[in-house]
Amino acid sequence: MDDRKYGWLTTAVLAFVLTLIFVFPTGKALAARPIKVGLIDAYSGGAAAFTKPALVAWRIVVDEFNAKGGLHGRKMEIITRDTKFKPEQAVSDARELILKDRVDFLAGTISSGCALAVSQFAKTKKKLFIVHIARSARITGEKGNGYVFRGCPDTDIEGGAGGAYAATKPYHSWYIIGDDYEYGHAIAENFWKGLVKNKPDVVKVAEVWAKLKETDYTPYLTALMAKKPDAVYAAFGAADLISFTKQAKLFGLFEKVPVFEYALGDSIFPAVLKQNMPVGAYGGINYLWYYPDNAANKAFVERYREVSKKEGHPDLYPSGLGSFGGYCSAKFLTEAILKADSVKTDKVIKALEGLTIQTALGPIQMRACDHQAVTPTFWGETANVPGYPFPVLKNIVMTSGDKVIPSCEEIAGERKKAK
Amino acid sequence: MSLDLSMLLVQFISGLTTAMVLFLLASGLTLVFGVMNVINFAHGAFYMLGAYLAFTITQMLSGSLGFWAALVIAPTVVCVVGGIVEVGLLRRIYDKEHLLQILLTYALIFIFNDLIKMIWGVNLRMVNLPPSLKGFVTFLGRRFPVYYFFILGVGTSVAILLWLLLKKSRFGKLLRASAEHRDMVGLLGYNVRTVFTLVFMMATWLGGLAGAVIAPTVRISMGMGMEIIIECFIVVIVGGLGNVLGALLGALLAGELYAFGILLMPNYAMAFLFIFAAVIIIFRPYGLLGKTAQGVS
Repeated sequence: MDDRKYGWLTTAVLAFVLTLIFVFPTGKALAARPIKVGLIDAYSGGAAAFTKPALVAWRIVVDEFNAKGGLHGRKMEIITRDTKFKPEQAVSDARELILKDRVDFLAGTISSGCALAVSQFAKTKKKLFIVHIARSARITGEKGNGYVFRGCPDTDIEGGAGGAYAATKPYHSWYIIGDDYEYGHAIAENFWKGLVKNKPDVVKVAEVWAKLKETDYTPYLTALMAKKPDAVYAAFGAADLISFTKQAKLFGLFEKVPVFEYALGDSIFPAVLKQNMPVGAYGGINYLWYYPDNAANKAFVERYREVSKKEGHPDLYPSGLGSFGGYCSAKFLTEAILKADSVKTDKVIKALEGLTIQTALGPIQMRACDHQAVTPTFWGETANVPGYPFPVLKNIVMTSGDKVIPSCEEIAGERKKAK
Repeated sequence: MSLDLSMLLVQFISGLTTAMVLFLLASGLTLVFGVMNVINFAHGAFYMLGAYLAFTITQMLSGSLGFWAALVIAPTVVCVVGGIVEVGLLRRIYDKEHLLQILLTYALIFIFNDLIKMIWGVNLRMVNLPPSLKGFVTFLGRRFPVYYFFILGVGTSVAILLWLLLKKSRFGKLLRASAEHRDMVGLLGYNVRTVFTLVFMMATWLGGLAGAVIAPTVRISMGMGMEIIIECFIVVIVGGLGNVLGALLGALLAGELYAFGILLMPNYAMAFLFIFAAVIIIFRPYGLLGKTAQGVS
């Protein structure tokens, strides 16, 4: 054999081997290419108290999905990005996740501002985006679009349920105080609407808005107590809820006036507030780890404890804001993928519309018209109950979502007006 | 709404407590500007550090003892950190323009934020009220927490001590002299560099003290320094840059304006403060007690 012939042979063999490497296994790799979910959220800063429990809940659902073989052997994978609570960052994260990591779906965020920004971006990129913590009603209301879903409640549901609950109490004059921010205004407005609807003779003594991240509520508290209202509705987002509650407790507000605070019933707040957690206040939340006291909820709590420990973030009490919202959103997505038998955006969207998932609280439906999950809300009085590590809710009242959620026609009207 | 006397009094005290916290912070800010001619954006970071240290100390020592220990140790540690920052960084840029100083001190905020993230993590922290300062003071049929009177006491003591230090002590004379005739003080054989280091340490001590004092009433989180520093700058500008007495006056005005704004027109309370600041800046750009030429007084 001369050198030239030898060279041809080498080339042929090389070409054959290369073909094997590139074509054959690629086909196989394609079949097993994971389903990627880009989870965009604020993981640094105080928000981590909510976003990390939500991530644990995503792991529970994803592990379960993968253990059952995924979608025809395709496993699901979560890629996280830290928005640092900034909408611009959230959008650039979303862009990178789509272009570089080639994610199939987007999920997030705790911030309503980020959620609104990403939902506009998702629409232009035709990617499905599921919101798991952010509450602004506009996300699935006037600013909603065909690509955005929400697996957690919004301010319409939570505010309305709070109002309906408060209407059953004998308080006539109300003082409203809250964050001068989208969330505060939205939840207070829906609370008032719900209250007036069920009890038309109530009076609003005052409506006061403190700046976001206010550190000193002293003058607000003294001014509030001077007005002597029958009851107070406090509409604060997570971080300010902590500051306000702590200082209100210092001032003895809870002993003087009945105070209603949505989210105060969540497990996160007593864990942070400790001895500053008030008793005898009215608190609400979308999920309670101890109620309903049934097998499904117990199993969920057990599983959550296990996975959070495995994730290096041991947490005994799954929260409503973080864990349960994350759980429902992840569950909606995986169930829809299985139902659609595809990861194609349009097919999964179709499967999600009207989909009902089974949760620790029973079935929860994703409404087809606005892509908002119809979730229940729980309200009760905070109390020290023997056997619990911190004050929990007692005399719990559940309001189902369909009683308080705005109708599809109302949402359609809002969207039309916004255009 | 009937504006009875007790209500007004309670609101007035409410405003005083706000004012005292602002003063504790603003005094350090104005001192550094007056003597060293440096705008210290990072002042809030030292305040934040004080609060976090108070958290750690009260975690290690429970009860009232932990709180008193925190009140002594936290500002001291902060003041040592302040000394290191002055010697290591600030000292190099005194003769540079203000813009560079702002860049450096602004960068320090981010560095401190990340350091705090590394040491304490991102979770929200709480300091409990010391048992010995729990309870209420009742007057004219209204209650006010004891702890806020404690804040008033600390603020007043600091104001008096600072005044004595600046007006009556030899060190105070040296400070005032350094502010106005830096070179002359050097020629007279004093070490101006050491004076500057001491002033910066004093200012950061005040910042740390403010953090430790406020700790039991707030949620301790990253960025808490930034949240309050803007109001402190307003206080300093209204009072007159570099003027400690001005800072006290500015803080009192800001605190009361805020408190009565909330009582009467709650949704414009913030605006009152800024409008007031704007009026001062237009008609007395050097502040209420400031002189056209800056200096500590």
